[in-house]
Amino acid sequence: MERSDGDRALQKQMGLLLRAGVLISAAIVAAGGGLYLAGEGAGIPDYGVFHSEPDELRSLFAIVESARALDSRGLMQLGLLVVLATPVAGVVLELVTFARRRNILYVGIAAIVLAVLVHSLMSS
Amino acid sequence: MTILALTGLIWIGSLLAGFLGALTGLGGGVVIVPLLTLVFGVDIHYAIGASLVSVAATSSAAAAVYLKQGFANIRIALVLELATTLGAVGGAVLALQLPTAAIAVLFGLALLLSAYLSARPPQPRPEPQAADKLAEALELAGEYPDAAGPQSYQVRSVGIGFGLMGVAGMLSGLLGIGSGALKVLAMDQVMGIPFKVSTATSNFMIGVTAAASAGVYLSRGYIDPGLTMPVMLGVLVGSLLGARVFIAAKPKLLRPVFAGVIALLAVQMIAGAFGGRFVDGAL
Repeated sequence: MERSDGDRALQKQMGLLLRAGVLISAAIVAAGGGLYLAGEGAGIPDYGVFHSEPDELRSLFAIVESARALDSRGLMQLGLLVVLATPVAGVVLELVTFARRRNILYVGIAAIVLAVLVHSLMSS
Repeated sequence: MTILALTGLIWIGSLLAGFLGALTGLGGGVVIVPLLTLVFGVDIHYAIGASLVSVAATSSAAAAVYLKQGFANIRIALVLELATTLGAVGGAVLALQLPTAAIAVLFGLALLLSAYLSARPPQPRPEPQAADKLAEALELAGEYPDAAGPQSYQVRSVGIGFGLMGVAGMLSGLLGIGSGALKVLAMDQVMGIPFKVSTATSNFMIGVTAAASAGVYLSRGYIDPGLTMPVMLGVLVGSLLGARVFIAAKPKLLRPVFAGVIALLAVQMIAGAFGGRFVDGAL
């Protein structure tokens, strides 16, 4: 049965993609976390009152910049972004797969879901 | 207490939450927010941000295993994600408007619902019926591996399931939880999808749902990397350990006990909200 074979292949690729995304993310977060604790571990935490994060940890491009400068908070935040971007990459994989199979209905559905996700992440 | 000591304690607490969550099949995410707010005195906005990212990491890791085994149905997930992502964006925007105490009360109610759903005895699945027209048009039917060979299944009540997924997405965006219990309920009990397929597909959808509301959380500064780091790494490691033990043993007693703990946390959250514990800080 061609359809279920195709879906099976997509399931396997998606499984690999999710696993890779989680592993890469955990590695970046752990590396940033090590730097953070080595540098600021002796400080006093302040999570009791909410006063929002600084600008460099709130937008996509600023986080990438901050991580490239090897700032420990920026690195951890980049790792957290990777884990959030992984399912988005999964939707892209679905879009491409259904486009190859000329399944217009599912290309449309994947495109709408992707638009909502990209809009939400880019608005940051 | 220093940052180092607090980070260590939060890591251990999150590891335990992830371990018990995976062992009981309830997911660890639901206890993260009460753990951080009630035990560690963290502001609920930071707690929700940390919980949301950790839930996304854990469910993606679990989904990877289910996908490899062939249980998750990607078509069903994609159709229902239309509802969960829009609901999640709406929930995250709503979370910015509501007073902190109201969020704590809603969280307590969601915990109670989650405890009730998991403590009640397994419900008999409704008799299999013919797939509805929408399910046929969307080609949602699938099959999953079984000891006796591949089992095929039909899908029905797509409309009602879609509506429930909108609610699940909204709760996820509002409270930073995965809403896995509600997602599985909608697929298993309403749409007639086999339990294993429902669980696998729910885990797969949670990451996408979380990503939809994370943009709003990130831009409002709810996601603190120093706090989220030990939570995410703890829940991830704990749930991987829990999943291994789960395969080896089926602990029947643990589930009601964990459900009891969740109910207790729910009461604490609601009582705390009325006792003035969750007040709006500087925003």
